[in-house]
Amino acid sequence: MKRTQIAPGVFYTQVPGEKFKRCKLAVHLVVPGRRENATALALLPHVLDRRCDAVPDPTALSRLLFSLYGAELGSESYTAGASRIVSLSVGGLKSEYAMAGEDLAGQYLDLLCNLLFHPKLSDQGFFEDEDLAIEKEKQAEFLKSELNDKRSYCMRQARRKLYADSPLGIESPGYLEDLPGITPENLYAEYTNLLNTAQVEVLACGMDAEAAARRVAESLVRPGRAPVALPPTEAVPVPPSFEHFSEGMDTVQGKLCILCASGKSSDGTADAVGRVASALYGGLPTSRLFVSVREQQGLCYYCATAFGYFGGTLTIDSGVDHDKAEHARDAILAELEKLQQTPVPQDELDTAIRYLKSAFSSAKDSPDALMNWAFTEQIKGTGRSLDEMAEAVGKVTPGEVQALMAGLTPAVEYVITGKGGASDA
Amino acid sequence: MHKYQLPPAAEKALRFEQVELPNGLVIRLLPMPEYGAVHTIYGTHFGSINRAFEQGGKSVVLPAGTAHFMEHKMFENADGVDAFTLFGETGASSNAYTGFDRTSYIFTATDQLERNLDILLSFVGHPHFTKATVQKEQGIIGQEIGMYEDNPDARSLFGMMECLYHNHPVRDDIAGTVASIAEITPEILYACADAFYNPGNMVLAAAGNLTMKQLLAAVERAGLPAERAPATKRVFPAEPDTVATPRVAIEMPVAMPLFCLGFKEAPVQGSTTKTEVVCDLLCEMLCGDTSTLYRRLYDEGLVQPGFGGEFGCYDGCLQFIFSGESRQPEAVREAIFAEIARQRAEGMDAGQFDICKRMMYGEAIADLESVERVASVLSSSYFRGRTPAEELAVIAAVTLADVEEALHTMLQEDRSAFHLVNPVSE
Repeated sequence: MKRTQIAPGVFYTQVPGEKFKRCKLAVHLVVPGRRENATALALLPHVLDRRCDAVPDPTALSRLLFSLYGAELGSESYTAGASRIVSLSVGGLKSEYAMAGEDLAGQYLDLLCNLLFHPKLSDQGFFEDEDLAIEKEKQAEFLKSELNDKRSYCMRQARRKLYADSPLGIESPGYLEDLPGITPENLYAEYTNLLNTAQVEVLACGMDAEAAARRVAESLVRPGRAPVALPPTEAVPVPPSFEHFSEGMDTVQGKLCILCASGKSSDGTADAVGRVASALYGGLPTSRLFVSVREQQGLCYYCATAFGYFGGTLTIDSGVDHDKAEHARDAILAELEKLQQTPVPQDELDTAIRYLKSAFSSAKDSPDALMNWAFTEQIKGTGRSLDEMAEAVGKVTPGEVQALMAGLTPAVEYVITGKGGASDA
Repeated sequence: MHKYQLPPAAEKALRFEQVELPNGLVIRLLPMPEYGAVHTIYGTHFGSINRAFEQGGKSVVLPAGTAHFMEHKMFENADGVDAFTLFGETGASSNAYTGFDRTSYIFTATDQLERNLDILLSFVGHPHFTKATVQKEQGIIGQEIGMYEDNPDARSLFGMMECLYHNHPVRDDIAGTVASIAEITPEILYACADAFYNPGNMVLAAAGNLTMKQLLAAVERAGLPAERAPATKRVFPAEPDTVATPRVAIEMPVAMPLFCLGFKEAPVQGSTTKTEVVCDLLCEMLCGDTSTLYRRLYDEGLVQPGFGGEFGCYDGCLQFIFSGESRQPEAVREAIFAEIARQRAEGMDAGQFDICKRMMYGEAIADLESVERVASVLSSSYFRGRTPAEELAVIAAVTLADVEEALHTMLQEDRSAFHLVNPVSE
């Protein structure tokens, strides 16, 4: 998948999609992540995807998508490393599946460009008060509801402790306390600034990416457009000691999250080794944590790991009985220590490699997976294809896994304890 | 969608192969030679609601959670090597899931297809249970049950089922309870294997880069019974028309109340396809994204994203559930009833009906894109007694009058229940 520049700061990638029933177009606007505008940029896509000049009523927009055979409009804003990404996408059936031969792909492109570049504005030339008020309220409720899912809440809390005020600590959905200060004027200013400064990545699968990128680039021609360089992501420093936090909550099952830090930035090689190491430590049903901590010792229901490319971290999260949390923690760390001290047997390594290679190969069967892969590789700066990644993974050695694991230090533990449990978070 | 003529590309996408063996096993395949992966489902028509049966003159009653428990135990082989390990040797990813009315064992692989098919057909076809492994699993599933008890969405759904049903097993959590699974023994599991894991009760559905010849050869190697097993009679308790409990509220650590408004409908006899299509349209037209009710509730801050309606249609039961998060759940409940009354009085929107049918056509075709979804569609449509093409034909044939008629008979307030999960009071 070749990435081509079509205008200053505007790139496109044609994702192969001949075999799929659907086609999809995504436009990602990428800027350096900043704490000060995190909430505004988190809110922006929700205001943009309500309506636009051409379709000024939200229900009419929903009905338009349904009339396009259930086309999907996607909008999101999130952080990846030190960058903030604001994305809009439209996808749906290819034209050949339309009942009356309609040009569906052309309508997807029109809709996406209308939403992104021709938003519904007030007479004053800013976003509509009503749209902003509604979406601010929704975002506030979303932020407040994070404790509904205890598993992800526990992981978020652990990351907050480790990342603190670093760029990696900027919250993807923004901050509750910032919402009241967002006005139609300053949100519109953020929107304008985003269009002026963002690196723009256009990805299309099953439709013409170059034509779409040309249209996007034309819409971006404006005085003051000067794309800014994206900052590198610094690794999370290893804290001087393993810090422990707990929070009491009325739950049946406890949650335990351990973050390990390496203090090193990742590169393409570390990415491949990290994926393999994570898979055999806690990413598979044959992994050390699943077999030992869950199946043999019965200390948890789940125990999963994830390698964090940005920041060079490893996350371990587990669902545990409240009275077994300490035992589970000790067992998890004991398995880590084994991998740090002893090279993994070749057959165990091969199992993880086979699984990952199969997963990379399967990803080529999904337009969403292909597009996500291509874009994520661009953000990382590694730019590899799925085949190249499979090849890199296939070359990982027991020594490399041991070295990567040995470089990890348990940094933060966050535990959701039962009702009446002590809170020291 | 007034005239039903599928585009040639859609006609082609819907073509799949089916073979039924003398032992009753049905094999469905949609070859997708341009894909790298293969997804295979070996499914049985046995889920959490199958809690009593008769076979060979014997009556068996099962504790809640048996089907799900069995799904966990099937991965263990007699030689002590579990199926996950065997799949790991080929690089395949494997899993299983239990629903109300079926259990499915799956793998996705890009390599060693014959070997993966052999593993799948072997561990599901030749179960092995011991007292010791059953006891160990009771602890693991006990933890899973604990996890779901903390999940407000799961508590809300099963809380609603308990409100709607007096006796039907759909009211019980799919995983059962710690107490109910403690009653499970190897003998119970072997009885279930005989009754429900015989080929005549199962489907092997696959999609991807493989052929029917490969599937038939794998089935041949698996050594499955050659003869069709005696029929199993599924037994369901008598269920009154009324709801069991019209209103329940519980407290959990959540930020905002979760509500469920449920309606108990008469179960469908015979083919369910048309009823399912009509129910789907009813949900969408009343409170889906294209409805005026959804927009009003959303914009007035009465509901959050995720609000919507869905239906469930299983042996002996049919229900609607409208659910979401709201700081004013009672107001949402009233608004839904008001919208039902308004559409009954004023009639439903023909334009909205037409685009909802277009959306359903689009979803059905999009479902034929990934090997995972295709195999899933082939399996689920088999258990519903239809093909994907037949479902599309029903979507095309359903009229606005059909939906309006259903609106007048279904969604009655005296057969509704309301379940709330409130934040823990200070």
